Amino acid sequence: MTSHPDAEALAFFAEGLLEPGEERSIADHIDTCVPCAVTLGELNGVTRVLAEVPAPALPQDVADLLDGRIAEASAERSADDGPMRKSRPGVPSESAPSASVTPISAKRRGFGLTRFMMVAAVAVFVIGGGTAVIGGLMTDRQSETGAAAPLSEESSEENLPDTAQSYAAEGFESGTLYTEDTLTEQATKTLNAAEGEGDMGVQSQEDAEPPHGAQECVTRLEAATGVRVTLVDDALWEGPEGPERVWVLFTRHDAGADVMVLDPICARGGDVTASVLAKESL
Amino acid sequence: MDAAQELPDKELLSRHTQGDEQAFAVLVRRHRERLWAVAIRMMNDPEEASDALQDAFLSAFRAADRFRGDSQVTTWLHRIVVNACHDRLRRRKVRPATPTEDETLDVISNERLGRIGGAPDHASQTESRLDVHAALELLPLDQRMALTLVDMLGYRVDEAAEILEVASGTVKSRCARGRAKLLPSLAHLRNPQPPPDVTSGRGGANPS
Repeated sequence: MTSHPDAEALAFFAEGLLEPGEERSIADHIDTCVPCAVTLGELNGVTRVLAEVPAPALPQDVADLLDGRIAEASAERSADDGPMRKSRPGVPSESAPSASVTPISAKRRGFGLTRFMMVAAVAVFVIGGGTAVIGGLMTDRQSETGAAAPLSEESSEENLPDTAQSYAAEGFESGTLYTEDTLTEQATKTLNAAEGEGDMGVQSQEDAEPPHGAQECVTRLEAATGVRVTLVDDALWEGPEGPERVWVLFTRHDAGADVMVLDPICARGGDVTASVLAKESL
Repeated sequence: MDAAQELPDKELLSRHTQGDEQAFAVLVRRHRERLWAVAIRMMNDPEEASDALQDAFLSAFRAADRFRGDSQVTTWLHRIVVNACHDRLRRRKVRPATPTEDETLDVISNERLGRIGGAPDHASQTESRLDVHAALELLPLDQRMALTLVDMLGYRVDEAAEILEVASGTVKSRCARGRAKLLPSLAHLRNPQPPPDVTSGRGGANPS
């Protein structure tokens, strides 16, 4: 293929919507074209960014409003059916369960919600980590809800410009296409390059923060394994289906340093250690 | 009575149509959190999400006897909420005199590319908080609704297809188109940089 497929063609490719011939030619192209492989990775990134947008929980006043409207409608209907049946709008009768006792199991039932709650939890991590760049939805009301409470501490407007400083791990973009066979030497090279940069006093340069979404994976990985992540390289990995975008994490412990290749899917939640594609000691 | 809370959705709906005064309220309490999540993400405005949700529940209240029972009650409720949001979004879309979608996205993307090429921008970090929704506003409604359900809320494609009453393939292609359109305006949130060791003649991370 001589010309690059456009983003839409890559998005269709990712969804498996292309004709076999076209699909093959794009697959071949991606094998040899790093920019297009990157674009493909970024299309997944769009999904991730969308999934990370925080949404406020149902505000109590809206819940009350809904109860009220339904009670009114119920009363109107009863009045139409026959004036003898009484129902007072807004006043729950003894048989109505109160809003506060809706069982958790009922709230969690059915499709979608569990996932949504997971996404919401991830969003809290994102904000907590300081990348509150997409916190536009936040409202004051929401800080009243338990799930969103941590947000109010970290995501206030005035904190935003300082978010880069709150990162524990440093970000880096070596542009390396890591492979399983050469991971150790590539990682050593990256580590030296990144440290060299720090020695030269440019540590606080602009891209010294981990890629968007990486911080919560780092946080969870640190919590799960007890390691300390010092550097995140936003890079590529030679996977079974060609180059994919990965976060290469450098960790430090008493005995030395390790490198871990992390699938960005970890940002979606779940067991973070399951997203580790490879691991080597340095 | 606690028993009502244990009843399946369909039974509650059927009791409601037979005149049970509390059945629908139970249904609302059971699903309102989830449907609020849909509405707030569709509308990106608590007031409008609240209005859409009220409209939706009231119309479900009145239309319950037309529920055909060949889908889940939750799917049916989702459909009504999504339609209520759709109506409001359509009206909202008519209101401001914005340029057509593609033009605007191009402008956004050019600004971004300009910034990415030069010094990275802390200044834009604050403003980009709104970018996800600003960018979504500019998508055709069909794409936006598909992406909201699938990417933002994590519904499976077949669930979204049932809610939107279109084929799964249609949901996929709407999502794919939407993602491709959002890429230039959201890529900066992922901090993309072209790898320095690119051998191809094209340097951009986003060839098009």
